Order: sequence, then C-alpha cells, then structure tokens
Amino acid sequence: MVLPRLLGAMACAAALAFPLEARADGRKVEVMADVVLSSNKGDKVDPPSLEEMKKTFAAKNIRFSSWQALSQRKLTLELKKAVEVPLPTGKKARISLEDIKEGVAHLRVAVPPASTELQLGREGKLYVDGGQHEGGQLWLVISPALKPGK
Amino acid sequence: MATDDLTLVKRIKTGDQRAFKLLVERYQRKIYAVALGMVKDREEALDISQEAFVKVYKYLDHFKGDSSFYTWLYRITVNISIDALRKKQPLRGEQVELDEAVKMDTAEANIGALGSRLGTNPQKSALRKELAEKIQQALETVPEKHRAILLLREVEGMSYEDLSRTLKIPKGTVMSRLFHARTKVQKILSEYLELDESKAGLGQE
Amino acid sequence: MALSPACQTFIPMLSPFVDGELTPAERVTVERHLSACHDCTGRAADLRAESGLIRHGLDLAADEVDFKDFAQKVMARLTPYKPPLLERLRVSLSEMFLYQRTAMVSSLATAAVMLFVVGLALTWKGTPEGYARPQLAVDSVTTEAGAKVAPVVMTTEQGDAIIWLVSSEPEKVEEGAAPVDAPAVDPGASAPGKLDQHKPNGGEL
Repeated sequence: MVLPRLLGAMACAAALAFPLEARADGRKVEVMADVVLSSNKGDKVDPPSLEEMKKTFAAKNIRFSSWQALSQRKLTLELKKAVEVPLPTGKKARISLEDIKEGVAHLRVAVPPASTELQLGREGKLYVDGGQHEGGQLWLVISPALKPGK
Repeated sequence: MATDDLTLVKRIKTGDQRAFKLLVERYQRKIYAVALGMVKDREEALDISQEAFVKVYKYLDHFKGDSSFYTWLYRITVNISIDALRKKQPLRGEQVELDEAVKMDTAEANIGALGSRLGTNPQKSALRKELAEKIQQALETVPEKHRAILLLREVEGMSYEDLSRTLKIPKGTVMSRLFHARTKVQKILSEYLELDESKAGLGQE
Repeated sequence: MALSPACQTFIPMLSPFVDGELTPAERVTVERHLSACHDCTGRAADLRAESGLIRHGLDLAADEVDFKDFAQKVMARLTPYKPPLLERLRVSLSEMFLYQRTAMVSSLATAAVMLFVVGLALTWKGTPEGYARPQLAVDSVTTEAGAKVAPVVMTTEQGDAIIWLVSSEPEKVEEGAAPVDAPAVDPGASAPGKLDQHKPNGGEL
C-alpha cells in the first residue's frame, strides 16, 4: 500500500545522491580536528562529550582522570594543500589531503615527530599522540565532519 | 541488546537452550584464546573450549551466582587445560613455582626493545604472521599456572581481584606470578624482535 | 651491570603499575622513579608492549578459527535434555517473544526509518566528498629520522585508531614542569580490543 510510493521516493533520493561523483573540480574534504589534553590532575571532563574519548582510551588500558578540549576546528582540506593546527606545545600539526580515490579521502596527519597516512571513513576517529604538555598528554583528534549544514 | 550473564544462566536452568547458545557465542572466542595459549595446539584448544562449555552446562546447578559467571567459566577452562597438559607431560608437571623473589636477570637484553620496536604498519607488518606463533612458543616456556594468569589477564583483562577469585590464590601470588610470567615472555619476545629487526631492517614491512 | 637498589625495588612493581593495580600512593612513587630512571621507563614500555602483543597474537590465532559451528558442536556434545512436551511448548513460545521481539519491532521500525531516510536524502546532497569508506583505516605511521620514539598503533572496538608514541630515550623534563603523569592503567576495564570485535553480541538474533 505504502510500498510503491516509498519506492518512488527512494528512487528520487538515489538520484539526488549521485551528483557526488560529478563534483570533480575543487574537491574538498571536511574533517573535525580537536586538540585534547588528558591528565591525572583532577577529574574534569570538559566538554562532557569527551566522556566517550575517556571510555575509548580506558578500554585500551590508558586511563586519565581529566579530559579537556583545548580547541575544536572544522577543517576544509583541498588537494595537496596542508592545513596547520597549532598545539599548545608550540609545535604545529599539519593535515593534508593527499588524494581522493574512488570517493575515499587519503589524508596525511603529521604531528611531529610522527606522520600518519590514513583513509577517511564515515566512522572511526584518529587519535594522535601530541606529546606532553603541562604534566599531561595531548591528543590530536581527527574525526568525520558529516552533519549536513554544520 | 545484550542480556547479562546471570539472566542467561537463569534461563538456561529452566531449559532454555537458546540462552545457552548465546552464552557460548559470547565467550567462545576468548575461551578459545585462553585454551590456545595454554596448550598451543589448535585442535586441542578447540576441543578444550567445547569441553569447557559442556562442563558449564552440566554443572550449572553448582553455580550459585555468588561470583561472576565468567570467572567460573574461565576457571573451568584453565583446569581442563592444565589436565590436558599434565596428561601429555606428567613429569614436567609443576615446574618449580617461583613465588619467591626470583633472581633478577641483570643481563637484561634490550631494555626498551619491545616498547620501541613494534609494527608501525598495523595492517601490513610482516611481524604479524609469525607473531602468533612466537607468542605461543614464548608462552610454552612459562609454568602452567603462571601461564593461566597471564592469559586471563591479557585475554579477558581481569583485575587482580578477579584473577585471585578465579584461580583461588591470594592477590600477592597473582602479582608475583604475573610478574614472573611477563619477564619470561618479554625476554623471548625481545630476542625474537631483535633477530627480526636485524634481518628485515627497521621500519620495513 | 648491577641493578640499583631502587630499580630492584621498583621493577617488580612495574607489572602491577602498568595494570593499574597499585594504590595511588604506590603509583606516585613508581612514577617518580620512572621520571628519573630511563631503564625502568623502557621496562614499563616493554611491559605494555608485551601486553599488547600477547593479546594481539592470540587475537590473530583466534581469527583463524571459524566459530560458525562451534555452538552447534557444543550442543551436540551435551547429553540431550528434552523437557516434557508442554514444557517445550511453553519455552519456545517465551523464547519467541524474548528473542524475536527484536525482529518484530525492527520490521515496524524499518518503514519509519525508510521514510525518514528519504526525507533526509531529499534535503541532503548525499555522502560528503571523501567519505565513501564506511570505516577509517590507518595505512602507515612513520617517524622522523632521528626521532627517539616509536609509534604504537591501537584500534578500538568502534574502529577508531590511536597512535601513541613510545619513547625510547630519556624524556627531557623541562625545568619547572611537573613530572609527566603516566596514565593509570586500569585492568578493571572490560577486555579491550579486537577480541571483542568478532563476537556476536549476546541477545542478537
């Protein structure tokens, strides 16, 4: 009863979804880049959404009591153009879009002295050791920026 | 929608075999990992794992729910494994249980070698393929009871408290056995990694 | 090379330290020693690495087993227990409600979801650029030449990746800065990592 209408609507949706391949020029990929400081000084988790990060690390047997977001940015990456994210230690992290192959973004995330090459996914975050800072541990968090219009 | 262990146990006791199947599926992989770490032989480990669940089902009435189900399951698995080991090498049996302070190996090779020499390409490292075998070999050199503690600690992430309860030994004993087991395994792994490093070159796949 | 009395004291404590099983007071003393002792810092890193390697090694081994028929084989080994007919009927009806409830609810929900997705698709321009992959994947991690660290790559249950740099040299403690807080490692956390990923959740149909 509802089915034919639903199928029709889904066909429309599919058609609308396809233009992504056609968008060949000026290809840009958006990601979120957060800098987080974890330490055992106190137990403030700020913002509360960092509870998830705390749990993720605890599950890997890495526990800190305090988790603070120092900065949150949405980056728009263009091919071969590196974007810098400053760290409180004075170092700069560099994130660059190396390639887009079959719709998959290949990124390089360089947080001195290490450099990580990865493929972006709709799920999954990258946590990179950003070094020690003020008795705590810095993390650069690269995560998907998927919410429409955000 | 995960149903907790004790609820499943209650259902199994009423004859709900489906609940039992769920419990098996929940723990099969980890039980296998522990059994494998204990006996090294895959077929045997599979057999032991199945046997563990069979025993659990048979003796479910003996489980009163006063401890956690999984520690009971693991204890059964360890006991079956140790029995299997004893059958094969009855004389080897209980190697000297070095619970007292062990002479510390002052000629420690490569402090920091393990920590700094790990696969940098998680998907591609050639280290992966031989790693599982090397771990098995290293584990074999550890006395059974020490081995069990190490496996339960690493596979299940059991706290010392739980380990103490599972194996019915004092917490201090857990601590020292774990330390000795790790020291032994560490030494072997470091040597292996150094060998591997000089063969393959650092950083190569 | 003889071990210093300090190291002799602290080395056995490193094992419970990396497991997070020390009291806060004990942990502080160990951390203080670590900030001054390059060797023990290496030893602690070795312990953590070993821990991960054992887990990883057993993970790999468990990967090679197909657990598809495991539960069935266990069931086959059980002495068949057949409750009387009425009892069986009662159990299967209640099982149907308990376990298949999810299926009934989800088919109702599917219609709603489809409508929602369609609505969303009409307003959304489709998968954003670059996100064709469902899951993140780390291809490689390299360190600068001469960098005195090595990367440890960990994957979480949710498919995240953690790139952690383990020092292989003494850490420079800047003047006036507090000694680095080592993370407290907690074994009470439920078993981490891949060993959970392949396990079907209890309660799933």
